[in-house]
This record gives sequence, structure tokens and C-alpha cells, in this order.
Amino acid sequence: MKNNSCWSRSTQLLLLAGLLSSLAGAQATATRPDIRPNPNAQVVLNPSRFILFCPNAFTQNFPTAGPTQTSWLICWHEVAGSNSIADPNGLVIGPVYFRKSPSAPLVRVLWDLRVSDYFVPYHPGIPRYYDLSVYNFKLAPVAAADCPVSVGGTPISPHVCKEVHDRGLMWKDSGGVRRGEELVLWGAIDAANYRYIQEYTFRDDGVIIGRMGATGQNLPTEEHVTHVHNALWRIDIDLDGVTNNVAHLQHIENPADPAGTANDTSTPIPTAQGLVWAARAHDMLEITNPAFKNAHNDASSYHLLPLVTGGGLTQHYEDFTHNEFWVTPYNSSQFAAKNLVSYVAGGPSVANTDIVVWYKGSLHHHPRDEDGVYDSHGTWIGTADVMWTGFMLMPNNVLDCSPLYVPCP
Amino acid sequence: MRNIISFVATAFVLAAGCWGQGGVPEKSAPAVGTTSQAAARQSVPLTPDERVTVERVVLADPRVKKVAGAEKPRVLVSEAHVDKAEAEAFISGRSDKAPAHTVNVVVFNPRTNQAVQTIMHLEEHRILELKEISASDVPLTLEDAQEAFALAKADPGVRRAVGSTLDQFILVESGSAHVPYAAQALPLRSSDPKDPCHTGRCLDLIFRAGTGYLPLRVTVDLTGRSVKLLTRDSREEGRH
Repeated sequence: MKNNSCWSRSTQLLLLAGLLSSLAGAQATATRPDIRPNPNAQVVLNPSRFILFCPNAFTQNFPTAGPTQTSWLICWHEVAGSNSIADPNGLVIGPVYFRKSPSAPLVRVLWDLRVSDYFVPYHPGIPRYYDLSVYNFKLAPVAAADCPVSVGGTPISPHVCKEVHDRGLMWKDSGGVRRGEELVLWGAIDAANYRYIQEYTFRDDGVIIGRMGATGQNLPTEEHVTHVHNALWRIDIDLDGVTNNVAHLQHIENPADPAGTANDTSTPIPTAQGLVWAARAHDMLEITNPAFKNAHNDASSYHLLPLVTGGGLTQHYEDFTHNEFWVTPYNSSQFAAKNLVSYVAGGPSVANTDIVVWYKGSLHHHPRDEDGVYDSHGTWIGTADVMWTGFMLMPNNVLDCSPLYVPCP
Repeated sequence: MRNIISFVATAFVLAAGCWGQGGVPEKSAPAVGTTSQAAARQSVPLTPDERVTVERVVLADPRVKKVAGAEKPRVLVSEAHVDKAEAEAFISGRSDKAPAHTVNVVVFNPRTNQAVQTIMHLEEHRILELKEISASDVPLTLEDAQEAFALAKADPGVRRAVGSTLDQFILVESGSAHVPYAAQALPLRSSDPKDPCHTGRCLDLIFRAGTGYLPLRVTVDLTGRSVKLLTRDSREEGRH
């Protein structure tokens, strides 16, 4: 599969036009690439400035072969410091922009997406590990074996792999079929006996997926003790700028009602708070920007949906684990999920402002012989295969019609 | 000025060509006038010079000195965080001013268990915020792990349990290359208020020999300076 992630020749020519316009002293906005006049846009992007700001940034066009239909502009960096409560280590994504069609402007979706913490309590009550914040675990090296060319892999740093590949069926109907594609960035935190894969997927249809993969060797002396790996993501979402709102969406249905009716509710979230996810209500958060609409004048949004493995999201004694969703106002010094309760204290407003949403995903690790066995010296031999949990950010009325189907009517 | 920045940066894009395709992206661009790549950067590690400056400024503050004490304290420095509003103005072209950065610095005195957290303006060398924090809000560092490892190695029970290979174990940092005998640290917390690790600074040490782990764990309470050996047998006895 062809990797079409470079600036296209036409883009470079447009950049050159922007350059000439700049030299002439003109306002170059109309001639720069990726910046179409957009009456709703809160933030206009200047590509040359963006490069100075984020030298790691790259574009990914979809489909990877043939004319481009959708594009991502993705900035990323690694954090490997010694102050992981204030600045969690690992792979950090953002800012990220999405372009829904070749003639559309790039729209910002994310400013900073990262894992805030991994919290791992064991069933006997102790140990309880904070596998990111309280110790400065860093990303492990990736090599060709981690990131093979055969799956569209390219190591883009000593610790980060980029994969561009098929993602299975995108749609199949009476008119035909199409397979989708995606870009995946991942690194793995080296947490002693465990590895936490930090994976971020950007699909051709505007979907973003964040996942934790937990793998490695079971804890010495506790090899057969059940425990939970909780990942807590800090998602600084900026939907077409920073003036955003959040609502709680739920599916309401009474199974005892013979009418069989159901309805969806949308409850605005005016103040910072945590919310418990309810599986039967299809709970999700909806992030909107009052000025951001699609060609049909429908309010555009992104939905934050849990991708739950095993049907459960556990809660523990620690208060920050009591909710799956949290909404807080943006604060440049708030990165610690374990302090979430203090971040929402007093209920600061999250209406029409820069917001951060947080999500907790849980993996219930019930040890099994497939994880490993003791040898004759009592040494544990074996490794636990990767288990996954995560979330999806799904566009809702962002595109003007079905992506990569037929031209919008 | 704006046009000069745009000219040089755009030229860099054109020179970079298929930037992001098939390998490691192009490295940093050369400095461009007063708005260099280094100045405009998003969030990156501090340079050694910046690190020295940050430590000097923070440790010179009388309020920090009071907590740090006479001995060398632990100084934990975050990466530089960009001011979001200024970054937005810069990348949109609304402002030519390179965005400001702040650094979060924690100074911890392991002798008194006192800690102070500061937020410093990186470019202006100015402390913006300062507050005392609990020792449990101070991340454990490699220095802590080394201290825990030394305490563990001095413990007769640990020496007996690990055996003659104990001195071959090397404390390895996260992300480092594989070694045959690796001691690794895990940060430990307890939810039980009666447990010293509820508020104390505790680490678990585990020992990897080859590809497998020895069937033991050593819990070191750095606050209480105590060492506790846990074996598979002792854990199983405790559960029955």
C-alpha cells in the first residue's frame, strides 16, 4: 500500500504561492494551502508557523492511493521527564487537525491528548501502583520487529511507531464495498515488569481512537492475583477552537414498556464534574462548538464513546476512579488524574470555554496459565498477551455526507 | 518581520519535501530571525543550559531555600509547557511573538520530607507560583530507586533470599537496554491509612534474571527507612 503522507506537489505549489504573497506584503490567507475562508472557524492555521511550533508534524491523506478525500495534520512529541505528576511521560498527541474534503479547511480537533496515569490495584488491597505519575517510567525502544514495513510500519523516533494500513470494512451495501484505512501512532511505556502500549488511531472517516494495551510479566509474588489496569486519559479537545461545550448523551428505554419505545436525551454539562458510565444507556459525551456547523447548518460535534473490553469499568477506593468521564476547564497545570476531585471542586464553569475531558478505561486481569508458569527454580516463565481498552472520538455532523462513498449530493 | 518569518519557514517546508514520509521527520530548522524553531517550540525537553538556569533561579528563592535545607535537595523539572493562548496566536499568524513557556519544578528535601512546587516562566526566569505540597505528591525518581536498592542490598533477609547473584543485579532505568540481572523499581501506594505506604514514599523492587523474575518482591519505605521482603510463600501464607 502506498504511503501518501507527504505534502502533495499541489500543496507545495500553494505554499510557494503563499510565500510569494508574503513577499509582496499581501495578506496571504486566501492563497495559503489548508486555510480556506471559513466563516465559522475560530482559529486559522498558518502552516509555516505550525512547522516552527511542531517540527514533528506530518500530514496523512486518505485514501493512500488515488485522489485525496480526507486529511489529518498531526503533531506529536514524547515526554521523558522526571516530573510525571505535572507532566506525564509518554507519547503526546496534538495539536491535531482534520480536513473532511479536499476543498474544506483544516479544523482543529485536539490540542493535547495523553495518558495521565495508569492505576493498578490488586485484589488483596495492596499493592496499588500508579504506573505513570508517581514514578517516571519512559517509553521503551521500538525496532523493526515492533514496527514492520510489512504492516505499513515506520519507526518515526527511537520510541514511536507509525503504521498506515487497512482497517477492515468501511462500508458494504447493495452498491458495493469499501475497505477503510487508518494511521496508528504508538509507543509503549516501560513500567518494569509491564508494558503499557499508548496507541492513537486516526481513521480516514475522521474517527480518533485512543487505546491502552497492557502486556508483560505478572508481578512477582502476585502472579496469580487478580488486578485491574486502569488507564486515565486527559483529552484536551479543541473543536474548531477553544470555545466548546459538553453534553451528556443517554439512550433511555424501559424494557418493561410494551410500546418498545426509546429516546435519546442530551443534558448540557454547565460545570466541572465527573460522570459514571452506564452501559445500558450508551452513555457518551458530546463536545460542540456553537460556531461550528457543517454544510447543512447542522451543529458539528465529536462524541466520546467508551470502547470497553469485558463489559466493565471498575471503581476502587480512590475517589478519582469513581467516574469514567470527567469534564474540567482547561488549566495548564492540571495533568494529574489522581487529583481530579480537586479539579472539579467548587464546580467551575465549563460552558462556552476551553475544556478538557477525561476518560477512565479498565482492564480486569484475571491471571491464567497462558500468562506463564513457574519453572523448577520457582522463576516465573511466560508473558501476558496484550489486553486492550480505550475510547473513540467519533465525528457527528462534521462531514457533509458519508465519507469516502460518493460525492456529497 | 511577519513576512520574513513566513518566507524562511515556508522555504524550510519546501526544502523538507516529503516531510513525514518513510522515515524520521526532518530535524529542527535553523534559527529564523528572532522567531527560531527553539523559541516557537511546543513542548520539548529543556537544554542543559536551561536546566541549569531553572535550578539556579528556583533554588535561589528564599521560600524554596527554607524547604530545601542545607543538603542537596531533589529537583524535579518538567518539560517546557507552552502558553496555549500565545501558541494559538502564533500558529494562526495573529501574533509574531513566540509563545512563552513555563516549567513546573518540584524541590524535595528527603531528610525532612518537605516539598515545594513552583511554576517558573522559562524565558523571563521568574517564579509565577509557589506552594508547599505533600511528599506523596512528589514523583519517585531514579535517586529514590537507587537509595531503595542500597537499603535492600544491605538487608540480610534480602541477601539470603536473592542469593549470591545479588551483587550482579543492576538497577535499571525505565526504557534502558536489557541486562542479564536487572533490579527494577515500582512506585507503591496503599489505600490503608494505617499502612506507612499510605503517605510514605515507598517503592517495590523486583529482580529479573534473564527473561524471568525471581519469586520475591522487596518493599522499601524510604520515609521510614524500612525494608520488607515478600516471597511467594509468605504472600500465600498471609492469604490463608
